[in-house]
Amino acid sequence: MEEGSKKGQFDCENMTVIKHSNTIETSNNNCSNKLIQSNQCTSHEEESRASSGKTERNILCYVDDPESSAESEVENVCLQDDIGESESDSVCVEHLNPSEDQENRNSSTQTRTDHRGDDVGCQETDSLASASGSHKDCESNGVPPHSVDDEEIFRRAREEGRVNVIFPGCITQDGCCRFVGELLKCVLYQRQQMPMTYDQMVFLQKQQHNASQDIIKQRSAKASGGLDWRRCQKMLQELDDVLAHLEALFSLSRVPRVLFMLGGSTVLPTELYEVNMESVAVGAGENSLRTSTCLRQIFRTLFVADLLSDAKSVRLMSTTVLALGHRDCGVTGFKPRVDFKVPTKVKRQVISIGSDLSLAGELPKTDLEDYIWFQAPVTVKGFCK
Amino acid sequence: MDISDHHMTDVGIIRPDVHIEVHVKSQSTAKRSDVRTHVLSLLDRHSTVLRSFKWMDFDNEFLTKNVESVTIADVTGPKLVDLKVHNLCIHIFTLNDDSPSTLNLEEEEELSAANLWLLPAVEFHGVWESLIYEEGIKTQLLDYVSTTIFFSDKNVDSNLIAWNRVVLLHGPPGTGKTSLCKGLAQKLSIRLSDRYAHSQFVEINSHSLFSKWFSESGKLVTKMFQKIQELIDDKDALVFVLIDEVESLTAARSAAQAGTEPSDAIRVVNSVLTQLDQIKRHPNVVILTTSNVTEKIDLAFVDRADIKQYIGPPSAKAIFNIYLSSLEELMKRQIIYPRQQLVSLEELETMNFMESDVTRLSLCLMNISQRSVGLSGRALRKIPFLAHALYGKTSTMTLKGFLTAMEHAVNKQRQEQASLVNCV
Repeated sequence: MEEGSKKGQFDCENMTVIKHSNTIETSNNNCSNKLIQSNQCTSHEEESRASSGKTERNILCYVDDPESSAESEVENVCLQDDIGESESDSVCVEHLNPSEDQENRNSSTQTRTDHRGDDVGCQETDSLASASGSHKDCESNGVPPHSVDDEEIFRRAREEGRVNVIFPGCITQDGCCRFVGELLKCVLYQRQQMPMTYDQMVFLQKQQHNASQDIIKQRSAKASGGLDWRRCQKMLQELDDVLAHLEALFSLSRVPRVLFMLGGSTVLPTELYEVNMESVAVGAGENSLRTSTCLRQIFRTLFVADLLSDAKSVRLMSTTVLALGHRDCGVTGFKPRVDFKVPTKVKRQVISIGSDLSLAGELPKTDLEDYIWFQAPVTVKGFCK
Repeated sequence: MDISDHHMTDVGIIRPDVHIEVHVKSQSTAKRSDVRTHVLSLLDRHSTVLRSFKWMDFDNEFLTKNVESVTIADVTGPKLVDLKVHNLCIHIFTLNDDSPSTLNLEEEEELSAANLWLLPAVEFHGVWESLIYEEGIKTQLLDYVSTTIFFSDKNVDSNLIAWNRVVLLHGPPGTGKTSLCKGLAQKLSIRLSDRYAHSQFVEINSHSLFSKWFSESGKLVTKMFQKIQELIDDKDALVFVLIDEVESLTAARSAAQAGTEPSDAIRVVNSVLTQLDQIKRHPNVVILTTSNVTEKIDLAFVDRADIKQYIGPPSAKAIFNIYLSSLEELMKRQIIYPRQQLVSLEELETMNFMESDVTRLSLCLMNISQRSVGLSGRALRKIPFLAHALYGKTSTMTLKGFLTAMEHAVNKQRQEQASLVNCV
């Protein structure tokens, strides 16, 4: 009997709601739309958070049109009756959609379906947004091909101890000699065998030479920074001797490989650097690239590769230069080392210089069996201030 | 008939080895195979040569340009050598003229733990020939290392037949033990150049292996042998390790029981012995040690030495040969002028030591040699210098005058020895 009375009460309330809605059609439509949206949000929130959902529902009801009083009454009745969540949902839906029971059931199903579709839509929207965002990020942070090569250069230098420089053309023999000379100076400076760069030492030496003829020597002493001039001049002399001998060798023979051995002995050096030019296409002056441009590219690659960086401080060592030259080139300064073998116990840093064969043409096939190692007669001893 | 049969038997069974040492100039870039071809053609044109003969001038242009000398080395037997009935072993080598480099144990320290020479080295050239010993000591040492290589090549089981690759030379000071080690290493690097393209000589500075910190010395010994291990890992390298005055590294551990030695010395000996045991697995290493006081060396180390060779003061015969080589050198450089003939001891024996114009000066030299018995080899090599410095009136002297001066110098050495003994 009580249940029947409750059902009757619901029916009366439904008739009341219908009457109100019929009176004003336009406003009812707007209200119903708003209510539908708010209810969807409310039900969605109810699923996640029950108590807060209820509170929000009340807030939404207050914000609604003057007819909200009836809505709130209806909802209060639902709460008072302690009906289950599903039933309360169905009741709310029934209020929102005035129709028979069968249609109510169908409409509720459609509502849920729409709700799910909306969720999917939201997710799609988010993914699309993120996709577009990432796309923009890619575009904005786009790396030109040069930087990609830089990373490869750095990785290879770290893992293999090797730096590759490819030139799009032929290089003169004198250019190869300059490469080796500049690389030798760079290695000596970077490995702290010289307190300053070679050119700076030469400049200060000239300044010192000029100052010795002048009366004022104190100024030059300050400018020189307290260098040990005897050691400085001795090292410059040794280095100039090595460079001169290298120039003589390059003028007499093709030089596929050059070794810089620092410290220890030629059997167990402390450090070993190799300049490998087996892939260089040697050409005449007019058909070849400019040496200065190639030097800049070599040193840029060296800088990117970070080949010569080492946090460990290095002792002063003797540097020996060996070069691979033809057996019968007749060079006089160097000492031939017929039995020399490149040490394998030491980690070797290789600077490989080559020509792009698709542009420079094929290399003349060289018989490396006729090439032997020549050792520079002078060793360069490192010194510090 | 018997002699000819014996000769035929020798020819049929085996032909003895004759070692030809070809010294290629350091500036030469010629291939070894080309040098070999030209040397063989040279030997083909001189089928019979004097023992220990040495070519220094050649008709061939290639040899003149590339070869310093060709030497018939270390031949025993008759004076004339018939090359056709011998197995010719040609050893081609070039001398390394680098100064010795240093091995450092620590990255931070500048202290040189050892000196390293590439063999054959200019510094060791001629050392082997200048050392004169009795009883075939040099030949035995050569054969020892040759047998080591031979056994290793034949894969002899080292658990059944073992050798430790340690040679201990002991004896009074000044008898050339260190020089013998260097000469031996040089000779072996030349003799085995076909097998080992690279040879190294490591002279350990024992003083660098001791430390002021307790238990640091054992670590330094281990680090030193790790460095040597890096050299040995190259299978093409033959490594000679010289430990001079080895008693400082291997002092007897029994002395520590008396409380007169710190226990740090025990750790050093233990470390050395352990490292020696590890190193003997490799066929390309020879450890040469010298000592003046053998009674202080730990018995475990003495037991590990494959060859324990006593090197004593030279005998009168050896002294005669030492003086003879010195006088030949002075006549070669025209410090003694004019050149006069000196005969060898064998020739004196042939002539029953009869005095004549030919043998008078040699007999005088023999008398000086007999009175020099008891002096060390190092002192003997100084006698000609002191003779010229103290008793030479002129820069150039005759052989007779020089012999008189040498006699005075020997007498002075004797007096100095007596004075030192009296002081003690």
